[in-house]
Amino acid sequence: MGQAATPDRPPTGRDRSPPGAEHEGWARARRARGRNLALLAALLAFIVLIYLVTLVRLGGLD
Amino acid sequence: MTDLTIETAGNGTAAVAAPLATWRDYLDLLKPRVMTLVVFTGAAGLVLAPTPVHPVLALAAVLAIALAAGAAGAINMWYDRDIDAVMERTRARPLVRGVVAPPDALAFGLVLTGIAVMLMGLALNWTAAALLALASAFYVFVYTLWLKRRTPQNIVIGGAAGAFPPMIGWAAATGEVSATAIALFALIFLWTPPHFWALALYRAGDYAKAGVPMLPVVAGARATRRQILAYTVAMLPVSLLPTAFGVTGTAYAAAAVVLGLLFIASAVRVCREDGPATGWRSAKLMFGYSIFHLFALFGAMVADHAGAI
Repeated sequence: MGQAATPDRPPTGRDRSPPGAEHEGWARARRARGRNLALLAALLAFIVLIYLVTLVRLGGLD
Repeated sequence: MTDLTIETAGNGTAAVAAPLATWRDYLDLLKPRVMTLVVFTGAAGLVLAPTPVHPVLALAAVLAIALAAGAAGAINMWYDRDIDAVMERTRARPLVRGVVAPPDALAFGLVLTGIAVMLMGLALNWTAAALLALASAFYVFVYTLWLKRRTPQNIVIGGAAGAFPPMIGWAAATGEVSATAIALFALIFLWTPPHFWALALYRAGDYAKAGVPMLPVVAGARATRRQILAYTVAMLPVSLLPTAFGVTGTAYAAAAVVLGLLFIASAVRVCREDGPATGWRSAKLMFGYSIFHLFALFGAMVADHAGAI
């Protein structure tokens, strides 16, 4: 029944963590950073575009 | 946006954390390959229009068309996630893999649609913005929500949504819809059914499993082939309208005739093919050719208009 492998204390949250949980957390943080940077770049590009559109509409970039 | 989804097991312990969506998953929601065709035809409409547009405003118009098309794709994926999970072709989509939560996909689509329409209205004009909003609404409400699961004519009528971009591009430049813009609309409208039905012929099993009443599923392969041929034949004279309206010259007309005859020839091959025996080789070829056909047709229009051919 595999009783020999059963710990003699109640399981804690740390025990239930899957192997490589630290790596998983690191990968998650990396993905989140990548997504945030992509969003930031998109927003900055959008702001620049709106600025240029405004200049053109006002006749400043002809 | 939801970054983390914790599924709670029966005993109340946290069990599985869904993978975090990356920016590529959100890009996939925009159906980038479909967007390429939409952007190309939209830009062609902008270039063919008689009124010159400042490059910055042209960029804004193309971006608005791309954003609106992508956003409509995201909303389509949100609504169709149940059938996408069943179909082989769509099984790897972000919503099916569970990396993007459905409310996030819907919000992403709605916000992008709003940004696209406002950008078009403020940067170009409100006629183009209204057409953009109409095209998005048509794709979401008429095609996705109403027709797709109800009738084999789903992509015939719903295909109108994909035919809007050159008309929107034209309206962005001129502020109005002319006969040429309608001709460009008609061209893509007639191209869409043979394009999708060529795919549906060799994916009929997938569509049947998902309960989508595509023509090969409902009427059979024979009726579908006849319809494919009819649409390719009807498309040829319509592809000559830009020359008839004086927007393009004889060089484009010659290219359109050659391309149109090749499209018809590919349809004839599909008609003669014993699909199950050949693995639908001709249908697959026709699907690939149909994408090239539209790119080449609009490319020839732009090149002729610019005096390059």
